[in-house]
Amino acid sequence: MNILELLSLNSYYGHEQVLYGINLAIRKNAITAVIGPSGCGKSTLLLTLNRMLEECGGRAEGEITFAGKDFFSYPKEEIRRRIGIVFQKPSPFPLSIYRNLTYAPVYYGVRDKKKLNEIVESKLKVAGLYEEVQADLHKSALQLSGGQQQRLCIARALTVEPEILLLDEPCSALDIKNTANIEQMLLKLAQDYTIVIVTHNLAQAKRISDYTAFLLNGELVEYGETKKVFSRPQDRRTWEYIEGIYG
Amino acid sequence: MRKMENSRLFKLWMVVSTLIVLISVGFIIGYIVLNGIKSISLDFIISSPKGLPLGSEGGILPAIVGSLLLMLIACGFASFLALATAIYVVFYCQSSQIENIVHIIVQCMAGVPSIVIGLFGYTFLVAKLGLGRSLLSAGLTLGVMVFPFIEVRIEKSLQEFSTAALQSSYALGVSKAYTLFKLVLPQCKEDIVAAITLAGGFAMGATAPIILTGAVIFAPIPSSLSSPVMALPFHLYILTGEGISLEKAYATALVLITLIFAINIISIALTSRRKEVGS
Repeated sequence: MNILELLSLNSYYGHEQVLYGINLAIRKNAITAVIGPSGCGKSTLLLTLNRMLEECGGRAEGEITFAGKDFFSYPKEEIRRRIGIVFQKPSPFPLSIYRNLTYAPVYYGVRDKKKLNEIVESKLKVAGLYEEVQADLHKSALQLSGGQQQRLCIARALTVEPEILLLDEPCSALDIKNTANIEQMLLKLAQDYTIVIVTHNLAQAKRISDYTAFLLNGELVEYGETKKVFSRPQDRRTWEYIEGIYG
Repeated sequence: MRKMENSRLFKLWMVVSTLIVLISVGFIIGYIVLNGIKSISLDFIISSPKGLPLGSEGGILPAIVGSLLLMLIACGFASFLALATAIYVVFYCQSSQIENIVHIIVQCMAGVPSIVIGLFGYTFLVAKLGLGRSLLSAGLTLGVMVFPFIEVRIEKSLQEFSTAALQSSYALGVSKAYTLFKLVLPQCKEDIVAAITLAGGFAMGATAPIILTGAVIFAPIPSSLSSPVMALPFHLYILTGEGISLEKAYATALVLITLIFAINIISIALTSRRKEVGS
């Protein structure tokens, strides 16, 4: 089943067009990897999909269907809640670990202390961070290491129970061990969530994704099952990119 | 060789400048303390001016209370406006043109001589609005003077807030207002309070804006916002200007300096606490 369908999507920053006529169907409860060289519009695609593009001074045109309804007919706050995003650079709030995770639930009306504790514990466990931080949930999130901060950000994105989780190169600033941690977590998360991950790391796309989309200069060149895209690419440009001829 | 000489000259310039400033400030404060301490007593602080001419005996309680009240009104009024202006400019203003206009206005306000602000207060608040020469008029006039001072500092502090954290908050579907009140303002609280206290010290020491708007030679502790008020800097000006009592003038100056000093120390303490937490 497709949770998100894009039909001739164009995105702009001011007068500059970044995405050209993207047609893409995101499968529910699967991991979709978006690959492509720097500046090809991967991040813009994610920003478009949770309506953060406007916040960054851009705009999008085209048809998007989300959960069977017109994407642009939802209030943007609802889209942002239901389609979460984790940015490339870990960006914890300058609050305690606990408050980072209760920040959004409290906004959405969860006041019950027990319920909040439950959310914090369960999301930290999902993110594989619980054992490491349970001793002191009230220390500042800024004191965590880079990898821990990124896992906290993923846990934080999950606190509002999104249906889709967008990740923008979440591992680019992390070492191998932390990257492995996050990949493990994503594979587990894919049972309950739909995941779209932008990555520079082709091996990572191959390891964890079910579907792969290859973007080049703002156009979708190829989209299909990851196995097929990597073993028998249909487009010459995909083959060149995978073989490391450019990018 | 040339480079060494240059760096030596540079060092000399720094050391000499620092010494000149330290010595002159130290001299001023020391001189006032030495001359003022003799006339300071509990009685001086807790009683009203007496004697003939008035002020040659007695104390300065109404002026101390008056100065503190003026500071409170000025800071309350100015920070109310400054906080809103800064939040608007940083978080809500979409057009860079409007932002520039606000910045230019704030900067111009900061450059207006204080006596001009005093005259503005007199014509607008005292005469036009009919508030009379009162605690309220003088406080509001001081508020106009310290507004740009507070606004610039609050705006800077808000601007320094991490963009990534802001984006993350919006990305959770959370509203701007919630982000502001739960995330940004708590984080900038110390900076904001420090800016306001610092402005309080500035307001307390200013004389020109209050001469025409509410400060008088003698008044009891003000009973309402519409009563005229005594203020330390104006009292000091009268004591020396009219040649009433040099001793009392030194003592008054000492009290004024001590108060401003205390306010600045509070402000510095707040800012440095912020830095420790932030690291």
